[in-house]
Amino acid sequence: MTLNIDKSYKLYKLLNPFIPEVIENEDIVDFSSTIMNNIIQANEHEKFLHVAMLITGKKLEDFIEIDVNNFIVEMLNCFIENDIFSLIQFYRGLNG
Amino acid sequence: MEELNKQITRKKFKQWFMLDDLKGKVLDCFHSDDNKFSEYIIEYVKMAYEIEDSTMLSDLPWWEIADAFSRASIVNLTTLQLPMLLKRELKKKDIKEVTYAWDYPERTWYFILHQFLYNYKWIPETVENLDVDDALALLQEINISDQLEKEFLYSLSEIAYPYDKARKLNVFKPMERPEWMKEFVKILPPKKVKIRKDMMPVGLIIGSGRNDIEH
Repeated sequence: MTLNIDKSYKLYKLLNPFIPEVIENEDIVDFSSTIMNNIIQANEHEKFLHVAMLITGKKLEDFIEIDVNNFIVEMLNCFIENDIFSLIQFYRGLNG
Repeated sequence: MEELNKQITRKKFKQWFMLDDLKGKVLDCFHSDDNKFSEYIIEYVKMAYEIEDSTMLSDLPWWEIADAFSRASIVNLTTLQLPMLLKRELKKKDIKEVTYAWDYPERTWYFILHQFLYNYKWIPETVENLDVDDALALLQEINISDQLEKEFLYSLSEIAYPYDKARKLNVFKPMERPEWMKEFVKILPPKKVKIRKDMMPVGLIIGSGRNDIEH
């Protein structure tokens, strides 16, 4: 799903606390796994639901249960399609 | 979108001012996690690229808006390093947010316009179409002249010479200047100097951070 500016901003704000300060390896799978681990470690599992809602465009009531594999595939596709590293770079650039 | 690929040039003063104000709002929203961020960034792109029908902008992929915003921001940068525009690190106690009864959101532009009209007796269109660097440099000059005139008037009044009890005389106390008009004082770290051993304090030095030293 291609994100518009509003959704990209919301995605960045959602993921930002879990994005490593220095992204050493621009490998999308490694990066996604780091983000997911950081969310789990922070015990903020509800963020998965928020990300899923954002990248699929579905509403909360549409999610009876999240298929983890589907979610990972959707997230990876979203990251690839939206060039997640450029997205992070743009928003980090606004920081100062 | 075709309009976003066109070459743009730096705006004239009024348009530049409006763009800069919008950019401030974009950044404020970004830092405060405000959802109006996208509304303002789209407004910025619309104004910078003079797009009449902006309904399409919110549906464009994020990178098109981000790229257009970045390019317009760079094109509209000022080239002069004016002290008035340089950020200085202010102490928290020095930051005062004063709201006057006569304030309103769009007042800043009219305040600036008034300064030009009052000092140079120009018509508004002349000010609006000034080059940004010229306008800002002139604005700084207006502020300097204004401050120096105030300082001169202040120096003629009694309040500029408060009584110093210790010296038993009236001493001139300069008028406070805006932060950007103050001279830069660079505080350098103290130089390391060698002290002769016989000049060092005699006896046991306790609490030197190392093991107690005896001279």
